[in-house]
Amino acid sequence: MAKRKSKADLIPAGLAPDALRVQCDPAELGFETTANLRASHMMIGQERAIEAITLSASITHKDFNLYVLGRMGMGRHETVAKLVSKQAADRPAPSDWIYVNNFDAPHKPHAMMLPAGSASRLKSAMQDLVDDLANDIPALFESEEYQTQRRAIEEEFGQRHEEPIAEFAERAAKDGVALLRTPMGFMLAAIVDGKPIKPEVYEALAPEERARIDAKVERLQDQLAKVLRHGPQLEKEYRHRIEELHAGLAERVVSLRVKEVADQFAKIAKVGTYLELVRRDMISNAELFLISKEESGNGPFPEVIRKFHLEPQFDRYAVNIMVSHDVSRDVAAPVVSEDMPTLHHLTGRIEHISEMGTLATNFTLIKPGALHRANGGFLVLDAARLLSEPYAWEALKRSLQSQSISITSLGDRLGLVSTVSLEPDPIPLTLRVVLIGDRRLHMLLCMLDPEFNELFKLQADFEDDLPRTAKNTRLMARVVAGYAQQENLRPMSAAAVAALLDQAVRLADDSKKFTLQLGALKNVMREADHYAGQSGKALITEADIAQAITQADRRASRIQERLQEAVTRKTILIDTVGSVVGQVNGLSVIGTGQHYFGRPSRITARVRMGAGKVIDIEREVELGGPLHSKGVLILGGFLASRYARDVPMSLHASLVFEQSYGGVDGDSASSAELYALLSALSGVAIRQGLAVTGSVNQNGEVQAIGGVNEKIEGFFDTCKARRLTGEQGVLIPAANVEHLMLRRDVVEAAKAGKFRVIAIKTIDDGIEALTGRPAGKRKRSGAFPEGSINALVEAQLRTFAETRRRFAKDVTAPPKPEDMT
Amino acid sequence: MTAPPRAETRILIGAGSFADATAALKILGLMSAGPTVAFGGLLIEDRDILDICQIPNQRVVSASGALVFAPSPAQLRTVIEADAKAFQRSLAKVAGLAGAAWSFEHSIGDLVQQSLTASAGWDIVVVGHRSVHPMRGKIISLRAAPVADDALEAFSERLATSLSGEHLVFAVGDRPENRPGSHVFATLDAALAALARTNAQAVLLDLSQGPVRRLDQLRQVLEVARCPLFVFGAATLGNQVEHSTQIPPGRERP
Repeated sequence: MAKRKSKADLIPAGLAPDALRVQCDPAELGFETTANLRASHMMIGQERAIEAITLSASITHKDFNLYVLGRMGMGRHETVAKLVSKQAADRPAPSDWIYVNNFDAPHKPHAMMLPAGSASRLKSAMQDLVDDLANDIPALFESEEYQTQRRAIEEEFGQRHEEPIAEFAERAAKDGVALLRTPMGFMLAAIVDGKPIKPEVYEALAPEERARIDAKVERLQDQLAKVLRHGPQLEKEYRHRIEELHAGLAERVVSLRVKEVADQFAKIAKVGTYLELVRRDMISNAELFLISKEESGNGPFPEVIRKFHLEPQFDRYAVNIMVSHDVSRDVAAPVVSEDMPTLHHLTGRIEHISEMGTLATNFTLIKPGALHRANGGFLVLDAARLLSEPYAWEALKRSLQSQSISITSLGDRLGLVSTVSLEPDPIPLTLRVVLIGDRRLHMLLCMLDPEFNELFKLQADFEDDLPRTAKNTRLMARVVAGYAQQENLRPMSAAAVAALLDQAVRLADDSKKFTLQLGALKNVMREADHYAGQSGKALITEADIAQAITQADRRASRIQERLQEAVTRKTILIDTVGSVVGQVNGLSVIGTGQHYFGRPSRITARVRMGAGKVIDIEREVELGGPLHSKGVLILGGFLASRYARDVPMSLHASLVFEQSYGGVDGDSASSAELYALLSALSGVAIRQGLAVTGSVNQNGEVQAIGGVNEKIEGFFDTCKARRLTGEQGVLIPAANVEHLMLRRDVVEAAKAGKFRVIAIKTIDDGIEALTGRPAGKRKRSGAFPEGSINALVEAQLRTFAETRRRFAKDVTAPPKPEDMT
Repeated sequence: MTAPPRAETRILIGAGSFADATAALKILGLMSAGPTVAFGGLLIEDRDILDICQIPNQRVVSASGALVFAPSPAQLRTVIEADAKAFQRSLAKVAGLAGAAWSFEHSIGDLVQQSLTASAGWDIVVVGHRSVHPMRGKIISLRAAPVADDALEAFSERLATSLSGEHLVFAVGDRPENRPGSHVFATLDAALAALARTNAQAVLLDLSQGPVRRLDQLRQVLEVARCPLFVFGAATLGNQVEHSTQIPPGRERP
């Protein structure tokens, strides 16, 4: 009996300590410090992504835009910048683009392409042109030559006006008629006794005399009207002659100055055409230059160096540079990264200024966007930021589809603002766009936006991890050395590099792989460098790396510690010693931002006779996610297919995560739930010193789960807080052994025999470990060995079925005669 | 007329309507950069106009050559009142730009006679006449030969500069004139005949120096010149005419 008890209490030996943490051996790295190591700045393990980026950067066909997907900290931005810049360096600098005034329709400014480096020269030349003419034209109109010509015209027309009036006045006087000026115009009246006739005198005249006077006055009135009506025609002729004079004078000086500019840009036909339009406009608007001179202030600088081109009336001759390249410096295609990809930052915008309380604009207020700056090269955008900006994604797609940049104001598009605006010429666009985002966004775009796949034909998918081979280990060490060099950190000892690589393995959640989230490793290195500096060390040592990792964990572990404290104080009930029927310690992982930790949860099962239903209380109260519910349903399938198949399933079971208030998802507790159920059915107690993780399938095989390291460490911390007894440990799926990269203290406890990690493959293995009783295999007779767990479970299920059968019989049986009385 | 405020040059503008005053005001506005001035405005309502408007079928020829019926007395009264207000406003504006004091009054009678009657204390009396076309004309000083280099000549030159007009001197007398731009006429009638066919912007004369010395001559000059007359020495003739209006002194306006 004593021997049987001893056998029953025997807990399976755990995995060897070496299997719990496959550490990197500094001696195998082959260097003492990273100072002696040839540093590598290349991206490792991302060949697939690099090929995609290179293809997108080099292919010239349209729509081969690129979506770079992967997790943060993988070096996506850095890799894209490096590869794209390399390709851009082989391309010539693209053309300059400017907007100039459309003299026929100012609200539709003309876009003009110029050879790289020409835009600034043209702008400067136009400013000089305006400044020169603002001095030349007023001087011309102040000249004696102009004044003489103008006076001659005025004299001519003045005389042409005066002569008929003078003749008329003489005629009227000769006819004895006075010309009177009234507020409304001229009036004619016969003269009697040297004075205009009075009404009473007129009335007293003989009718014939009145008629004679009336006829005379009427005739003269008609003549005067004719003379005065001729006035406007003369004035029109006069204005025309003056305009001709102005144009003739202005033409000479304007043509001379414009030719000077045209000669500088003789090789650019478009500039020549534009300058001809400018010339004509300047000649017909020469008064602009006169007004400017009249408005001269009394500033401290001489008038001749006044910057007339800054005055608003000369905006019409300005050159608004959208994009310009300094050919002495910009010898490559542009690579532009827009950190705030709003609609206006992408396509540019049309600004307005307030004039007398209203909003006004002109082509000089057109501002370029990232598309303009990147035109002819590459534009790198963050996908999440782009998609979160209203209308930015739409605008980018529209630009890529039409291969042109059209500037549309958000206010105009939404109809929010009703003010004068512009319709600038679209600027042709040749651009490769690189979006950097996560996989979820990529998937959503593929599913929800049919245009996405058309416009972004390439994807660069960054690997999350790298196989842990000897070659890759050395390569990782060189990359680490490269980072140390790049970030200007202290050299690292081989042990420090090994510790960092162990952390890379840990972050990969797989002892056979290194994480490629190199950003996280950089953070550890920088922090370790800081600690090394504080200690006055010239090298980053293993201790510094360990301190950086520990401190990072500690900073993020407030919630973890509070939960641990709650378990220690029995606020959260977790048993770590003894045995209990229908109760098992499950394990879950909680994430708080970047920090993940494991914690035990008590799972209990209760059974009774029923109709074959396993109730998942978490699901009933909507605290369980779909994966958890799936796991529980699998349990039902396992029980139904394994036990008492010849009788109806007459079990009513309930399962619950005790003291779980925040919801449960994932199926990693399904094996634990099954153990609790088997314990409840068999009546055999489960060792509370053991915790369980692993999902189960309907065949009773235990399957791999995630976060195995955090789960083991979570239960270890709980046990350690209460005292390690040597009978404590965690059951993990055998498939997860390769993922083990446990903390050193867990490994040390395992070495000391105080804690164990037991790998199991099946539910039978697990229940044996948990109860100390054999699970029992079905014999040829069809029965399980007597006393085994499976036999007890089957017996209990048969009992439930029988009880149910009897119950049904009693209910449906006809009542006995004595019962009817 | 109210005693003018003290200033270097005091100018009184007499006009029968706002249209007649406008040309003179425009000229004075262009001269505002000159020495400190004081301006007076006198709108003179001519009774003859009111009478003639009552003749049956009387017509008015507008500045654009349109023929319309003469206004009724009530309409004419309304127009004159509106003209008075406009004249006053424009005068205030011109004075404001020049930083000058100004006064305005309204009287009834003959334009030339009333202007001269009110001339006491004013250095220059401007008799208004509307402009019938926009072409810049000449500045003509109508003088008795020999022409003296006096205030009138200085003012004429200033006017010519401000208005960018050519300055001509029409000298009446039998002595030749050597100054540039001068034309000598044997008689005033000859000078007026020439003036009638000259595009003048302003005509300046001095009643104390001649050749115009009488009221009817001054009326004749106004008729042929068809532009504002700048009359110097008006008090000489003004003293000889009957004071038909006595305008009470008013307070100085800003």
